[in-house]
Amino acid sequence: MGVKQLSSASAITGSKSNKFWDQSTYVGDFVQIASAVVDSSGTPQIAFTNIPQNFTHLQLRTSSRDTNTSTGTPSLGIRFNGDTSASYNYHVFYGTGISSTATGSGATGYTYSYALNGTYDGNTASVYCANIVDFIDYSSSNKYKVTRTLTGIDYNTTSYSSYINFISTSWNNTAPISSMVIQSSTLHKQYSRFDLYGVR
Amino acid sequence: MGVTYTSGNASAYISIATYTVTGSAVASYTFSNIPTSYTDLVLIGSPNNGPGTYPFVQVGNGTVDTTSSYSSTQIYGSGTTVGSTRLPSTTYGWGGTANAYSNIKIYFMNYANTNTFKTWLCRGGSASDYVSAEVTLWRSASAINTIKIYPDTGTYPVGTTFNLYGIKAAG
Repeated sequence: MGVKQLSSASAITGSKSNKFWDQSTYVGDFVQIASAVVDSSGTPQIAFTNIPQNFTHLQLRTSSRDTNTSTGTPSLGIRFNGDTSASYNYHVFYGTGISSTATGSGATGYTYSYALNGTYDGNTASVYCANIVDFIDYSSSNKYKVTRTLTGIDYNTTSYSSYINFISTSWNNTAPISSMVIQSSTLHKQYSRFDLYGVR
Repeated sequence: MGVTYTSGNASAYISIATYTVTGSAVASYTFSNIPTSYTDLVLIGSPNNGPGTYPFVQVGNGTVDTTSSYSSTQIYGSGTTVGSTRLPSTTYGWGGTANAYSNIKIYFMNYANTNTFKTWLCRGGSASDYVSAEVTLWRSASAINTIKIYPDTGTYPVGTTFNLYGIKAAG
């Protein structure tokens, strides 16, 4: 159900009201925030800063590859608000085409959020890893932050594992997420892209 | 340089095309002339008492690619078992699971890039069979502007719907 614009003269003001009704759009809008596209030089980090706080959720959509020439599946670490402490946890449930496995830890603290997967440059050429990550109620100042991810990559080979994953992570901090840095093990490779959206 | 950042604030989730099966069942449906001005595509399907076990997907530029350029990996739960399986070098990619009253959601990532192979992710499920997720690789650097979806067996009955959306990144 959409809620149409009512009146620009509403007495309701401020960011909280904007989360429900921003005077110009429908509830449920999926809105551009920022995009990052990697060029031939590569880059070790993607940084989204000054993330607006007037959405309810965020979604990050990526297509990425790493310049590291190893084979296998790297996790791309994310840090929120520059937090380098061991305050991140994750669980993952994945299938390789041969077996299905669950792993992770809700007790051990990690110094990165492993909400994203990637692919090394030693794998099948021209294959980029796809990730869709939801950051639920990211601007709350009362709750720890939880992400959920659908990610996958298929290499069309048995030399190393393809995978399809569900990932959940937590950042054990109640601060609103105002920035995130996505760290490569070496460099994010050319044609990798990272697109951030807001969901009203 | 390394990376180019752009920002935006426009609505990003745009309806491109909608198809509903009317009159009589169809063996397949093809979205053609898909604009390449978006970043990702989303295909949502709702077969009406749908046939078969899998929706199959072929893509292409101008025409659908029917060569063995696809490979898929799946994870699934049947209610009693969890498993994972894959299709190497096939003539189609998976589009989720089907069977009676299923649903299909396929995310074609960076579909218009002409330098990378294409990957799509699926979420599928049907109450009578599976909940699942799939990833498919199409080993082509061509932009996708044609998508064909069809069941592994049978036809799509009247009432089946397919909706295609574009997601446009900032910049």
